[in-house]
Amino acid sequence: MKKLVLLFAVLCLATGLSMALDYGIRGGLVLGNMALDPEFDEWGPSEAKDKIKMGFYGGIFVQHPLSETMGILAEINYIQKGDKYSFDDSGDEISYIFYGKILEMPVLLYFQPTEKMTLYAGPVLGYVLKGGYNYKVSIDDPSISYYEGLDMNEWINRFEFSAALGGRYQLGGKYFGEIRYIYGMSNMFSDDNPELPEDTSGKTSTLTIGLGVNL
Amino acid sequence: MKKLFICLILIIAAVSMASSLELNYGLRTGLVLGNLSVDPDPTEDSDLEAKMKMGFYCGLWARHMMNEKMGITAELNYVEKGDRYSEDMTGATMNIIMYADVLELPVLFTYLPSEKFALYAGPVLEYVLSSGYKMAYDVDDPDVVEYMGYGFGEWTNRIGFSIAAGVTYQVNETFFGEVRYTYGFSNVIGDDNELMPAEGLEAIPRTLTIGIGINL
Repeated sequence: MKKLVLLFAVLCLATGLSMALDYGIRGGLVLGNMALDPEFDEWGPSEAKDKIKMGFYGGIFVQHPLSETMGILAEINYIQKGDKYSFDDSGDEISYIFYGKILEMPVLLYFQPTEKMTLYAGPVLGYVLKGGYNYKVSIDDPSISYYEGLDMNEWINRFEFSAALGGRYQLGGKYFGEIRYIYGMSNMFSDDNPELPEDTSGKTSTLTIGLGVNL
Repeated sequence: MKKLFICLILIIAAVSMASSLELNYGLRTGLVLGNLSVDPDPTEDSDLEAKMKMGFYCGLWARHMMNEKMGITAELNYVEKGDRYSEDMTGATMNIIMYADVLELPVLFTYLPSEKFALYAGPVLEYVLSSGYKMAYDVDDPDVVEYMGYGFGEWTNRIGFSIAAGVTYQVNETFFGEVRYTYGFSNVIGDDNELMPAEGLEAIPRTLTIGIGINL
């Protein structure tokens, strides 16, 4: 299945490239959050605070202008989403991390109000390559860490549907800066997941900040 | 978090330097096939099988040509090195993964025998961002992977040294393919590491990378 999705992604990209569209690459930081229902402090340790999970994204885009100021942007991205809850236990940091490593295929409608700015929005289809949770203890002295976790292959919903909204600013030449918000609409955990309280749903909510290059 | 910011600053500094010096520069990324030379060998007196650890690398490069055929390439890369040992059990596969996520600074002497090919070799200075080991049970039914592990933190030898040799092939003006072997000389595991089963255990990275790159 994973291979099929990858193959499909590569085929899409090859089609895009062969059509001689504008294309390029993008990469940057991910600030991840997840809307858990029931909330984590209702079933996890009550002192745990919701933090941002840092991650990384990288991807490829192709772009097809429809008119002078509008067009379609298609992408294939690898993105590390998730969320983190942590608290301090006499110097040691205890964190609970939920993660989803996702292959994303957004199709975005873009609008260029000025030459430098591009605004876009559109749907995103995601395929969860790996998802699970990680319990981590960062010990203060000696400064080492212990972790244990579970990749919930069978107990995650592989397909994710989200909506993305963002903007680009052309920095000069072929480089641009980019900021995007991705609102997840599907539950990452499947209903029969025995590791979480019954009917727990987790919907990702992700902010990305990064750079891109037009090739 | 702090590391990421340092990375970002270094990247921006490298890019601005490269563009002001009018060097050739670009990006590179791909797959890492990682091995470690571990002494004493964990496959002795056990059913463990040595496997390859897959990882990911990405980085920036800048090249200065001294004449038509020769030049110097400097890079800044993030490379996921390590090794994997596995054992088949009933209903599950056990994997022992040792990892070292490394920030690499190679300085490579580059020789261009033809327009398409470039051969290079040179020293690599390394900074180990994180290292540790992980035991992962890949269970068949239910299809999940249960894992636990340690990050070595202060019991890591942060600074390392390697040599690298490789070749790039220019596919078209923008893209090139690349294969590289990085031979390590430094032990990743600190002498005072209390998490390893044997005292004085050594693990030295041997890394093959296959990837693509872009001229910007």
